[in-house]
Amino acid sequence: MNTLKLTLLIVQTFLLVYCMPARAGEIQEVTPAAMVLSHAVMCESIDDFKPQNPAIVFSIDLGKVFCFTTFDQIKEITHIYHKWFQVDRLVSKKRLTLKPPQWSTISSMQLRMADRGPWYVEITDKDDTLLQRLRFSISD
Amino acid sequence: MIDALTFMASLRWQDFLDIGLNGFILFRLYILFRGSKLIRAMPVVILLWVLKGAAIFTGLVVTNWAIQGIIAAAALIVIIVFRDEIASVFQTGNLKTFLWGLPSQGDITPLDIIVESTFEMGKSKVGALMIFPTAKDINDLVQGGIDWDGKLSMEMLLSIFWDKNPVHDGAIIIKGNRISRVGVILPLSRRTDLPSRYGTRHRAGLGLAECSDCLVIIVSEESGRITVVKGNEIKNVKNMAQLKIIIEGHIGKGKKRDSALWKRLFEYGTPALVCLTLVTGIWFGLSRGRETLKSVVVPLEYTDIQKDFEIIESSTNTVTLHLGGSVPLLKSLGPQQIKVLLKLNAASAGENIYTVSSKNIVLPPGVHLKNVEPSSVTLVLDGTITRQIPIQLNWTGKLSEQLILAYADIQPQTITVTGPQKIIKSLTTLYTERIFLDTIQTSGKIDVVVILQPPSLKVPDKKNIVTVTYTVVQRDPALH
Repeated sequence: MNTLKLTLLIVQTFLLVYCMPARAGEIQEVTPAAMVLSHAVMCESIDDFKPQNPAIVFSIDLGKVFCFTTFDQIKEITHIYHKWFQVDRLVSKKRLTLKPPQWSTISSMQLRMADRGPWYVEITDKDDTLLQRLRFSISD
Repeated sequence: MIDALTFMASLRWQDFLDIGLNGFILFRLYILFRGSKLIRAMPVVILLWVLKGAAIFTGLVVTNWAIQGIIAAAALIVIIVFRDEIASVFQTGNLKTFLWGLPSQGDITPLDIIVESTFEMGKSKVGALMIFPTAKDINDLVQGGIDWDGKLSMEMLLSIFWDKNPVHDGAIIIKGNRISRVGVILPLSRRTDLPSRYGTRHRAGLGLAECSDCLVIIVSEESGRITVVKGNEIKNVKNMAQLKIIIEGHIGKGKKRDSALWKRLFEYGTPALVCLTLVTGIWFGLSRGRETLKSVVVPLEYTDIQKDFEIIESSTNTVTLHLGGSVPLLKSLGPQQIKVLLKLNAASAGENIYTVSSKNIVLPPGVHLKNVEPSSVTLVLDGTITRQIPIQLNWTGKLSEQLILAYADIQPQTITVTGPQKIIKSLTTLYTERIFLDTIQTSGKIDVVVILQPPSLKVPDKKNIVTVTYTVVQRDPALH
């Protein structure tokens, strides 16, 4: 059942990547030869392995914000990082494992009242090469 | 004696030049405005100034305040009231006259004009009566007349004694090169031994000559004969040379040249000396008066900074200077007169230590440096680089709960920033000013300013404004 869900997720992700325009702050800064970051988005929640309400502004009242990434052409088991920055201060660095051939990963941040303001998440590979930077704001 | 010599040795050539130059300026002002009403008003201004000093000294607060106001108003009134005189001084003559010239020798009697005019009147049988007084006052001896004070010329003399002129019957008084008075009535002589041809004009001339030491020249209206009277002596003049000798003898022309020189020397030498003394007094009062100390906080000024270098850190931005000098000099010391300059032409990237000494400090003359705090300044310099920096939007406020701000496009997505290498290299993002969410209902477009933080960052042509196109979508209620 889980395999089916994952397959569906991959297909959906593929369609999303090729049908949707690039979002603000989603500039592909480095394109790794082997592994491809096919989808990366900030969202309000994850439901059934799908990002819900992707956005660039999140209310503090949500309590939590998610970073969703999908990778293609994964040759071997590897890992990536989701680095959460509030303004330019590193708040959290999360190590996430990827498995061939496609894999989606999620990290989240519990929000507190002091977390309002501009944020970004840096997605880097195991060698700390920046793959993408997702920019968003936490509002009232 | 040794003290005096030490003191004299402490004077610089600039000090002598300072005194001399200001003495000369004061003397020239006196020469230019000499005799004008403006100079006569000056003692009043000086008196007010002295009164102000006295008021300050005795602690009369209101009096001091009032006199200060009067002086300010007086300066304005003097300029307005004497504007014509001031203008005439600046308009007359050439630059040489303005800077160097002295008034012409106004007191030298123009003998040739008098002699020629006298014989011209004699030839035309125009009656004339001219008085040449000495230093003795003759006001008690003569009556009437009109103050004239006109420059002596042949035309003037001929027109005064022209028979249609209302004052032609009276005498004129000649002082130096000016006719000081016309139409003057003289006492008549009571002598009985006078020739019958002598009329009232001759008797009047004789009358004054008898009771004074004046020389009187009479031109007969009937015969055109010229008679000169002095004391009881009556002399008929035959030619111009004789008349000239007589007048010269009376006014002492031969001796006069020397005495005039001495007189001029005294006339201008005395005020010149007074001006020089006054300026010397003021100069010593200002620069060598009672010594005092003053502390002044002065901002540091950096010069000759190399291209592509910037100061990113400084141990201090100001230094405290402890200054010495006379009370008036330090009292009048303004911040614009003091400069602390640090030349950064030899500075390198990283930490640079500069010693602040008298070499770096510009002070007005007469003020000297006692001490500097701090005596050294540490500057951290860095080269400047230019880089493209991505921009992040700084959303704030509260977006309607039914809406999701799904997407925003920034144009341009990066801006070119120049700044210190160290700062620019560590810079990952530049943030915009706050963009308020509360008013957003639909998708739209706005221009926002990118905040340059730290302030040492510079944007070419100040292009730090970006256009944001944002997309708002309705929240799907089924998802929550």
